[in-house]
Amino acid sequence: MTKILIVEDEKPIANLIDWNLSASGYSCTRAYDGLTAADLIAEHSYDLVLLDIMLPGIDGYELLGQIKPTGTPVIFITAKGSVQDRVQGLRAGADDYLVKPFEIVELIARVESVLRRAGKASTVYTLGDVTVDTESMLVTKAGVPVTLTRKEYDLLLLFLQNQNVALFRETIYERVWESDYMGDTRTVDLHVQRLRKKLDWQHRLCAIHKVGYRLEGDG
Amino acid sequence: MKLSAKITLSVVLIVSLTLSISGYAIISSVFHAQLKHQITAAVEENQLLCSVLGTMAVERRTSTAAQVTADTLQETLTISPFRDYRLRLVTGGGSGKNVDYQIVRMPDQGQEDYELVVTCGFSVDQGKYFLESRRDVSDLYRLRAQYLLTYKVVYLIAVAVSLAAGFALSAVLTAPIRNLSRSTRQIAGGNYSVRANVHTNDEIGILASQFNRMTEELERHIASLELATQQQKDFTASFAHELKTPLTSIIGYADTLRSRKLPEEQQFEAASFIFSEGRRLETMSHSLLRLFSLENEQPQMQRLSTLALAKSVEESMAYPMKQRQLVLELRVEDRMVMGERSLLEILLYNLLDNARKASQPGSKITLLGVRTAEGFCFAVKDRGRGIPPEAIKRITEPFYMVDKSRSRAEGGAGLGLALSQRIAQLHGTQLHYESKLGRGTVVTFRLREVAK
Repeated sequence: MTKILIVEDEKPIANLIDWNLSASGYSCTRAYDGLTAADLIAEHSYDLVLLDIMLPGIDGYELLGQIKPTGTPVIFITAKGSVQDRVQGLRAGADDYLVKPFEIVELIARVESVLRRAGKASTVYTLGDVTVDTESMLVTKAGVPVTLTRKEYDLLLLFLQNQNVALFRETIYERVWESDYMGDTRTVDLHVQRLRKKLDWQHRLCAIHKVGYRLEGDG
Repeated sequence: MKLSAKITLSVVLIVSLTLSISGYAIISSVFHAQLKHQITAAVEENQLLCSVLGTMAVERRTSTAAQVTADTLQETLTISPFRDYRLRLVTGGGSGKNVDYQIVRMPDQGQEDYELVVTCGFSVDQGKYFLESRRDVSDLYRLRAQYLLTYKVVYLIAVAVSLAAGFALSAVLTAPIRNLSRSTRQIAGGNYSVRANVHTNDEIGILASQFNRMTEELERHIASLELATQQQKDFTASFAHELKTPLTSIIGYADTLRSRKLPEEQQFEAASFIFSEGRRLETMSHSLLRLFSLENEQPQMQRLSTLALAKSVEESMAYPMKQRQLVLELRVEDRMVMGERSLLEILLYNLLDNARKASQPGSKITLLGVRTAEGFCFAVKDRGRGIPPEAIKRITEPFYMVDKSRSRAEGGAGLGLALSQRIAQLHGTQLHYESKLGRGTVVTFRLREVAK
């Protein structure tokens, strides 16, 4: 099981991240201050550290310096969202940068992508008889390759990353089309329909009335 | 042209002019005096010769002829002692003047060879004659040339010396100016801590000290501007942070609630977080609004009884104090002070509330009010955990919290003391902290006392 350390002094936020990552199948440990985090890092090994910058005790940059030599990837989670802050954070050696307030979908997407890049997560998703190899971008159903458009592929990945989660149309639109949702539901609906048909997922990809869609996982 | 060059040039010019004019005047006056002396001597000699020549000619006439003629005179000239002189008899004419002289350059001689030619008239036997004598005055001219040559050397040395002296002098004189200008450049380059190191008692020294005063004023001003900018920046950054933190929870939990099927227990927890973080935002916006409204407001000053003020605050603190099993002791003298009642109540309430949060159950908090030489002094004293020394300076910064998690648990937004400090400032006073870790804290501020 992938182990993630959450270093965040705001208990509600640490709890929120913990819930969602645990629901996605990660094993999470929390640290509410820098010193506790430093101890945990020294004693245990983690696959990923989510790190708040403004911490009591030891701040995030200092902790980062301690984590880097272990090779564990780090995602900064901070309210400081200016370009300057991001550059400073990434230059300090963080693998990614998540700005508060963030959406859960974004949190999960970043965690997955950083883990994959670090080779700590499987590059292959499997659900039922559908397999997606994210490295070769190859999608197969019962061993037979399925041809998907770029948007359909992105949509499929989004659903696979957020199994059993109700994805709102605007969230889907913003994640896949990477622009602000303007109330156009047709685009999303159309792509979901096609994906359903190509993968024969009429029962797995459920429509949620007036809201969006949910991919039913096996769990 | 540089000032030092100007000074040097002026010195050299003055020395050169003075030297050349005075030198020329001296040499030429010496020369003319000597020449005059020579002329006088030559004329006297000539006149003596004239009279001797006349007498001798008359003597010769008595022995040979009846009348002295030019020929007789000419003859006489050929005998001793006249042979020793270079004399010439001029008959009829000359310049007509009885005594005349001129200086002629000697032909076929060197450049500086001059002769003084003197002509004096004399009469013998009704005949008017002139005797011309010559005297070599080359020595005078040579001497003058010699003097001039020597003087030229002296002059050149003097000019060289004055050039060096002028250079040194100007370097010394302009050193403070250069120093000042260097400081000016550095200050223009942004280094405001530079001071002109000039300690002379002249105008430049005065200028430098005024310049330093100006720079000091400027530095102070810029420092205060920078501080204000920094505070503004810190405030914005803290504000963004304080705003985004509860928003992250609210948005995140709401998102989770609507997207996932959560067990009932977690649903309740999520809703509680949304509620408490929402409340936190509300508290913050409330305090911020109050802080902002105080930025541009002048307090409505009125006469207040210190005891009445303390009593009303004691009343509103009674419940929270009791909850923590704390004792509030009031030792306030009854005086009249100037201030706005509602603001001072907030100030005292905030200070007492902080004391309450820092205290262990069962301990005592004292509100003191005494008259001092600097006005009426309020003091809030607790026996709580105290404030670390490095935190005291920052304690009135907006959003600053000594212990964030504890402060959060108490529902604080880190704005209480910023607000209190602002209120104190509006009343022309400052909050003063004295604290010992583990022993307690005393906060004091003073108000203007008025007659009863």
